[in-house]
Amino acid sequence: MKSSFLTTVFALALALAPQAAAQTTGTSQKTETRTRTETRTQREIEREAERQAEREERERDRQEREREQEEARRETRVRSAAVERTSSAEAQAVVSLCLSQGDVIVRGWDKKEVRARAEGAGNVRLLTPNVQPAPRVEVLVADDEGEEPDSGDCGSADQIELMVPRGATVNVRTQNGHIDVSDVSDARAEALSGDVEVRRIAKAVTISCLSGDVSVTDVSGPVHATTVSGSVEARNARSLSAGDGFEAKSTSGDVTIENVGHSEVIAAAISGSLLYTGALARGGAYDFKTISGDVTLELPPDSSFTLHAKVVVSGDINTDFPVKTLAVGGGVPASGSSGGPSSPPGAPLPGATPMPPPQGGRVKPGKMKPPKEPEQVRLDGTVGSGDATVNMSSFSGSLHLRKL
Amino acid sequence: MTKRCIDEGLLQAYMDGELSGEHAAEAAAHVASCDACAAALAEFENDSAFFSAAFAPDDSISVPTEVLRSRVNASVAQLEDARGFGRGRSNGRSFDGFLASLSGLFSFTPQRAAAFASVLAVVAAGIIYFAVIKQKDTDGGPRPSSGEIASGDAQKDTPKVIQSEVTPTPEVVTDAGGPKKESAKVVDVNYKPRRRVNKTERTTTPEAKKELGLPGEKDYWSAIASLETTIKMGGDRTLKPALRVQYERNLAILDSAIEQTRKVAAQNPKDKDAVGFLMSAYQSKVELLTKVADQAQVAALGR
Repeated sequence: MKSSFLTTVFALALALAPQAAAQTTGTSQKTETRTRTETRTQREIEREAERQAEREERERDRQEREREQEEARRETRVRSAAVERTSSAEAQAVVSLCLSQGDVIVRGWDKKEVRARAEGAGNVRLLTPNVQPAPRVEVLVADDEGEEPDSGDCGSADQIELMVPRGATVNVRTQNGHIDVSDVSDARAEALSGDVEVRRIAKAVTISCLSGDVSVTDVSGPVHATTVSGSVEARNARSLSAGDGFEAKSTSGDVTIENVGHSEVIAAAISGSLLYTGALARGGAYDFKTISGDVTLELPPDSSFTLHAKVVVSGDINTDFPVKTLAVGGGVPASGSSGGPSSPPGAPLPGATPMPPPQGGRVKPGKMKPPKEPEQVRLDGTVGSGDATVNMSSFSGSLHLRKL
Repeated sequence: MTKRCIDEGLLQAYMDGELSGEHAAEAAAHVASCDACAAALAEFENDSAFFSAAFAPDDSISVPTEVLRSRVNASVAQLEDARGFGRGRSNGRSFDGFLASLSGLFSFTPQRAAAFASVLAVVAAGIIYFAVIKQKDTDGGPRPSSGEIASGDAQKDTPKVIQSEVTPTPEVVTDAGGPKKESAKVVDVNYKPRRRVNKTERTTTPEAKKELGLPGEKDYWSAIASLETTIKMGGDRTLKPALRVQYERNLAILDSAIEQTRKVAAQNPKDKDAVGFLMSAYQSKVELLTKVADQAQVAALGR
């Protein structure tokens, strides 16, 4: 009797052991998947927190810069009156100015004259060649009233206002001060420490900042706007010819582009996010690249483009557009939110239709296995008829395609 | 008057009392009347008395076969009572009999319990011992024989072998001699000292970088080195304090980006995107250094 009972218990244990092991494995797999999802979400939260901290840091730097400039103005000797100089100039004259300290305001007007008005400066000199009207005007500022500055000198002032012909090309360099240029033909601004704002520029814009924000509004022609520490914002830019390019870069700062009609657009950041809003030019080439940050494109619903999107280390690719995938590599499932935790792996894109297989190749949309480690993610495909070409890439960040 | 004498065997049987009553009477009557048979009978009695005296000590001891027989009988009786079988049952080859024999093994007496516990203890000790030995083999490589283990201070001078698991990249080696060192991994006399190298040195020395440079990196390194030299010439007057802080912060951001992208690009040199990110980071650094270098030149000229 005793032996029969023992035999029965032993047999039951052998029968139930595999089931218990299978349940444990399934539970551990679910836990592992949940942990991986939570880890990815946590990573996104941490990345966003880092960027927010960087934005706050830049804001503090800007306030510190403002304080320094204010203190510099207060430390400057009191000038009895503003100094003003005027010189005739060609309609397309080249006007240049260099300041070590002080803000610069440049305005275009209908006169064929260059007028310089300096506040807090000892002397102002307009250096021109011995030709009238002058094709070139170099604005020189001196601290002392009796001092005659030489070509290339960078004086200081509280503020200098230049009135130049609308067709003029303006070259402004400051070491510590803001630059504000509007209503001229060609604006070239270089600020070591200070913001740069250009508006209503007719032919070309070239801006370079070390520490400061850049703002470009209502401009035409090629645009090159770069800053190291600061944001770049560009709105309503148009190209004059097919070869005009638009380039906006920041090392640590966000880049925001809105309603830019150029056929060649480059936006890049090292540590910052990129945001593009507006239509794509037919046949245009768009390149968005950031090392640490997100890339977001907000496009009209009827946009047509060929997409090459890639995340190198970590991040997701989210799209509101139906993308006809050419190739889904890196183990990315063909889903509306590839790599995201909410999308079921292997789910087809909304409205996606499989492309005919290329010669010598195989296309298996929706049949890709999800990767074990969803790190490098890429998506290549077309939206609509694929008129424009959009390259989006982030080393560590997510890519978003949204409909306006 | 003589009858035929009694046979010798009959005479001994008569003497041993083994004859029936009638025959014993006839034998007695004959012995009384026959001198020869009487003499023979007397001789037999004398022999029997002689041997009886010789074997008298042995007669006091119980015959072993008798003792053994009684014990066996008692055990059999006990066994039969325990099984509840009748005496007439056979110990056949039936299954019940087999199980009965097995179940008898699990009837634990104190002696059997002690023996079983001892066996279990020995088995457990053996398992633990082999498990520990296997763990040592997995962690420490080959186990030295007792004759090769150095002890105490002599351990420090004893040459060590770089284990096969050690990666070629050098590691920081602490100099703390302690018990860990004496859990010896010394196996051989081939001495290969570990090179003490700082990790940051390994990653940032120009010499190391040049050895591992990706295509295009060397040009950037040269440009960066040249620009940094120019910036140093400008001194502290190059940038104002607040601007210098921002410059250094951005430099750190760029260096971090270069490091991260370089790591990925080195693993996948054919990945154009990864290499592109690295070159973009380098380019941004060059642009930043160029701006500051221009300023440094201005500051240097202004002295």
